[in-house]
Amino acid sequence: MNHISAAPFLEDHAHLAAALPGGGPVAALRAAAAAAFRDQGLPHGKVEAWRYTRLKDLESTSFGRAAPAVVAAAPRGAGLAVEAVRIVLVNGRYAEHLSTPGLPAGVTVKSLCACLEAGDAEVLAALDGGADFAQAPMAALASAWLEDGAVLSVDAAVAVAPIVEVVALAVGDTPAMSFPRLLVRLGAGASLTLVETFTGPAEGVYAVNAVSEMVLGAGAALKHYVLQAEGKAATHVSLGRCAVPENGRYEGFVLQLGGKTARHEMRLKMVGAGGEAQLNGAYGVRGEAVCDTTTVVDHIAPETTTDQVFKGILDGRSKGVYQGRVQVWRDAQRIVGNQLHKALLLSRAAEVDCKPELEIYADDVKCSHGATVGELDGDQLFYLQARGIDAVTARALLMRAFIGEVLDTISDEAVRAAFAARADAWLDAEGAKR
Amino acid sequence: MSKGLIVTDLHVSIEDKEILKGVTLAVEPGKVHAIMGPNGGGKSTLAHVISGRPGYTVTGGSVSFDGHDVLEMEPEERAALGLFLAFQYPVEIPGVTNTTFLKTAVNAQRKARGEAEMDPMAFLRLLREKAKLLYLPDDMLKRPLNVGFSGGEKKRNEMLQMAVLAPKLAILDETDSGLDIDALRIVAEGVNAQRAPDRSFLVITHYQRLLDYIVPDVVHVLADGRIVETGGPDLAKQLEKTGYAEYAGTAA
Repeated sequence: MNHISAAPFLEDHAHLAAALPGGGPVAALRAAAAAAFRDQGLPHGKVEAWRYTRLKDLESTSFGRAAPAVVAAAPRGAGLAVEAVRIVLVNGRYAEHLSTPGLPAGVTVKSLCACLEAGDAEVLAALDGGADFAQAPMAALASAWLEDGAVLSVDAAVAVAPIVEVVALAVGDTPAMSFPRLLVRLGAGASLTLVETFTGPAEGVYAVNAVSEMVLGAGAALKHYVLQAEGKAATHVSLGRCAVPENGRYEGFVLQLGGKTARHEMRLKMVGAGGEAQLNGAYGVRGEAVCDTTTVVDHIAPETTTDQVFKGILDGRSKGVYQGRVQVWRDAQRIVGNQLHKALLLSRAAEVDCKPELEIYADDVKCSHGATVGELDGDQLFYLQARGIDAVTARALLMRAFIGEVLDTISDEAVRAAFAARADAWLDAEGAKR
Repeated sequence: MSKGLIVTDLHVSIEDKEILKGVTLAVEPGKVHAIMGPNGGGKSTLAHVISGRPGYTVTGGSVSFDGHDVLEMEPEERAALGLFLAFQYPVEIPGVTNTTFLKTAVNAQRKARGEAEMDPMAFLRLLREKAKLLYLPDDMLKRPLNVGFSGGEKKRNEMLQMAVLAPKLAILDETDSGLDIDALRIVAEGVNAQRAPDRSFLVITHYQRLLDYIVPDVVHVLADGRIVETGGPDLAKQLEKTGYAEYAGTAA
């Protein structure tokens, strides 16, 4: 299979896109994106970056664009259980009436639609990381239908105290694809704790194709926590991009617990000396589901540090994928780039594909990668049982400990607790089944 | 209902190799029995089978505790009944703190016995009090279970678990192995402090040394899968002089 036609996803594009907001430059971006997606088709196994994850439902089911939907109130538990300023996107469209009114000083939120209509050139330029569609086919599809989303800006030197959570909510009962789009801009020296939460109908078939861009000024610090809690029949594809500038700080955590086929990709560019990034994550996958975490880290500037730890728990006939690519450019001397992936298999039928890729063109670097795949330790289980802890609880305790080690790296206490609670709920469903 | 531990003609194999070849033993409440014997004689196998470790096949005989057929029970059910195994090699569990582990264990046993969960503050008080008796610093309670503990700390941690769980029968599987004389004394004091009319001990050891501190009521020699001799504390002292050579013949 060398090409899976893009046509169903771009049906009547020229005509329909003409009705979308924004002037000539936006239309040109959409057209370029559509052309790029048409050329590449739907990603498939022959494309190295998509080797392990087939978007099966997108191949077989016709997904129209998700229609605008009016939701009176966000469903209970849609957001994370933390005090936060909430920005809600429904089917990718900014829902002001569901979002928290009143923002902290120095913070502005606009709908992307309004920015496009106003011809905000800065916003347009920040989208799509320089329109790198050849390396991001699904983002190209999202940009082909660029319409709305949220633009969150923090003024220079402002430390935003409350957590800001962007909830991307999918609604509707027909197979449709939404395109949540987020642009976050931090001025020089600003800091922000951002949560992105993706969720939708528990049982319904739907698709989410999200793109998030984070643009940091010098010395800015971003905590970026992603919770992928889609429904169990969902296809979820998301791409996050962040360029970490001089003395910038990026702390990322990706918790993936939902979806039938889910892929979260994070691309970090270390573009300024002294930049530091930590990108960790955890996932739980069971049944026949596929969960893919892909990272691409570019060390472009010297004296930059990145550290990645991902842990997954797999059951049933599920599949977990971790692809971690670290590229060190020729002038990026004295950098540190570490990555580690650990998977815990609860079932012999589950599959883990781990692909570390290191491409190093500088000579004074410290890079490492590691991967382990294991089962629950029988000696540990017996030790716990011998102290009176039943097998189900003992298993859950060991799984919690496994995931807990990486969850503990989340520096925001409230988010850490809320993510741990979500992971616990996933594990409890695990225990109850046995 | 017969109180205490009763092992009757116990036969146990590992992968078709018979390790225990008919062990019979009765430990009454309040008594301390020592099991000595050469390496490979089946001492640890006996401890593991009584506590329910997987991997052993019982081909004959029975084990009962306070009238319950323990061989039919899960390890956690045996623990709730009051059986405790102090491991020869305590397991490290990263990510689970000592305190969380013990609290989970205490409450799991209480739940299994139909008792209410322990008040968290009362539990912490109990834990600190027992830890102090074993010279275990508070920070070891917060650390992940046995991770980075020295050999002596791991064994003292086993004694802490025993003190907090307050079992009816504690099996000490070569608890003295790898301990220096000071650690040995602390462990022995921990055991002696726990001696009570309703609590019995099965002390498994290769060396007589431990029995200088924990004075047993009965000493058994287990060699080649059988109890080949039973006597009083003097038997241990005699073995220290003669070694196990005279039992080698029974292997034939």
